[in-house]
Amino acid sequence: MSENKLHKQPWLKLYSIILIANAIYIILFYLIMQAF
Amino acid sequence: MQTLNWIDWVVLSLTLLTIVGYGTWKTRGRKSVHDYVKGGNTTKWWTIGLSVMATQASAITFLSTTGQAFSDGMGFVQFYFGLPIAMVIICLVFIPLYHRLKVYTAYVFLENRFDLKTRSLTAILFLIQRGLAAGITIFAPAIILSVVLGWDIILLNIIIGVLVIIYTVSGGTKAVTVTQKQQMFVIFFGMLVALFVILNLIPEEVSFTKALDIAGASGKMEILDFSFDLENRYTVWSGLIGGTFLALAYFGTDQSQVQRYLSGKSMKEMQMGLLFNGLLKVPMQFFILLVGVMVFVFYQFNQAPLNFIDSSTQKVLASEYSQQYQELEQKQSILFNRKKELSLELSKSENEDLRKDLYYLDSIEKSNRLQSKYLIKRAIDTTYAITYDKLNSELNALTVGSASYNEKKDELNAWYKESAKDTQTNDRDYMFITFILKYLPKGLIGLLLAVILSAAMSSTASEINALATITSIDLYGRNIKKEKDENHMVKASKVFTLIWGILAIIIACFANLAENLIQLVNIIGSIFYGNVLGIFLLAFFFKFIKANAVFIAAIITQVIVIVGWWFDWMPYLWLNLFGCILVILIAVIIQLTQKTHVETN
Repeated sequence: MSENKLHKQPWLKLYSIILIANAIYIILFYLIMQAF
Repeated sequence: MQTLNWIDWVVLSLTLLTIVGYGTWKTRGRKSVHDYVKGGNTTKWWTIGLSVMATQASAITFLSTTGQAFSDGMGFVQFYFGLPIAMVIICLVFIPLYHRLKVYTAYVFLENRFDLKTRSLTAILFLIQRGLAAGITIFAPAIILSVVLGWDIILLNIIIGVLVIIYTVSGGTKAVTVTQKQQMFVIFFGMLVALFVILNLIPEEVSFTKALDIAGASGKMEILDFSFDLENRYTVWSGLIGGTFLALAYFGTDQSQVQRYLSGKSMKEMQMGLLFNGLLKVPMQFFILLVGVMVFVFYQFNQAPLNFIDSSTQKVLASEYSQQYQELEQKQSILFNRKKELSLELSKSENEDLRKDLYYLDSIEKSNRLQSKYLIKRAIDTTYAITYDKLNSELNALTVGSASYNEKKDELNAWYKESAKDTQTNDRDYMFITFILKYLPKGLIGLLLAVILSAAMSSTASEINALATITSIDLYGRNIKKEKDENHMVKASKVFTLIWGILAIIIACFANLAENLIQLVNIIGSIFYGNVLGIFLLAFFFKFIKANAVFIAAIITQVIVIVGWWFDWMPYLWLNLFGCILVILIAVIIQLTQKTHVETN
């Protein structure tokens, strides 16, 4: 059934922001861990 | 046993009744199935985001997570590192398909792709695990509040359940979403006020950064663990890999979450709602853990009981182990005074030796706390005491240093630690509530109790809403009663909501406290989620796989995963990945075998 097929979805800028924010959280936690 | 002041009763009752009343009033009137199940597709992205967060954040989140921070530090936050990744995948893959097919439930898609039996099987797997979880969502705060405040647990289960049933039956998905917005406001406000008050209760000379320093010296700020040890439950890798799979399964295939974003105004609003959750979830969990760590710092200057379950302490003090327990309390008291001095010194000057001393003293405190659990366990469980003594005498009969001696010693140690797993000794979930009741001012206690009960209600509402939707749409509507009109289906959904609400209350009344409540819910999830996620991934990405192969693979996988969990093959978080890969592998093998078989014939 064609309606079940995955059509290519655009990559939104927001996706990059969320993933970068996640990486920043991990880096921040690392810095906090080192500081205390 | 604590009693509540009338101000707390007023704050608690007013908060809860206002939310229930507003939710019921706001969503009154006649509805179509579309209104009742998908909230008329009118929800905006930020409401979806709050609703998704409120569904995941149950009372267990606040009671257990703070307790976890108190005893083990901030490491639990790693569990959520995979969540933002999962949100992006769901926005890219799941939402566009659900939106295009205009599905009411996630499992409708599986019938489109495979067949009715696969849809029904996954729906039933969902009903089993979510039905149990709904009971635990009510039971978790009820057991703790009943022990601490002396409230009747059955009555409390019924009150929480009935309050949720009132607005969920009446208003359906819309009522769940409307109330969750207010519940999230109460939760955020209450936790912020709690942190502010805790910081004020810590001695003035200890600044916030010094408080973190003290926590760090006791090992509570070890947030990240980069080791590849499978035995460690929470590492960066288990969070990123296992956490992604768990979040993918939970937010992508669990109807209690899917139903939240399916109510969105448009595909864009649904995606934005989930991304909102992806952005805020990690800092929110960090914040809750931080509250727990600050309570730990507070207890460096105010003596904490050896065990936070007061009734258990009373039992051991009334037993033959009273003398030993009192001696342990005295030891703990001396230790507390020494730790207090060192903490004050550390807050005045940076000194590496002080940090080492504090770390060492904290390890002694941990051992004292374990010993208190051991004594309580002996006092309440004679079989445990007899087994311990038997193992001990067997150990004494062996030659020190021999292989059998070391083996027996390990066995004895494991049995000693087993004492911490009893419902009456494991006090982790009691730490935060005990602190609230003892040290927070009047009025604020009522607000924090409202936070805990709001969280319980918001999760339960989503759960019974989803359970009823699956029962009415996927099972009743699809298998039993075909071609019924709108009115009939709305009525059926309301009846199923009522039935699931009552069932959740009954499960809550019969539940037993597990090792740790938050873990119990995650364990139940991990047993079923991997398999269900695997079925969805097969549907999305493996075009050559047909219905029969998936159905047989799903049944075999579920049995293997349950066996794996029973025999403790791996930490439970990895069961998600295991179940997911297993169902895909088995389905591929069956499909290829069938193909070969057909070709040979």
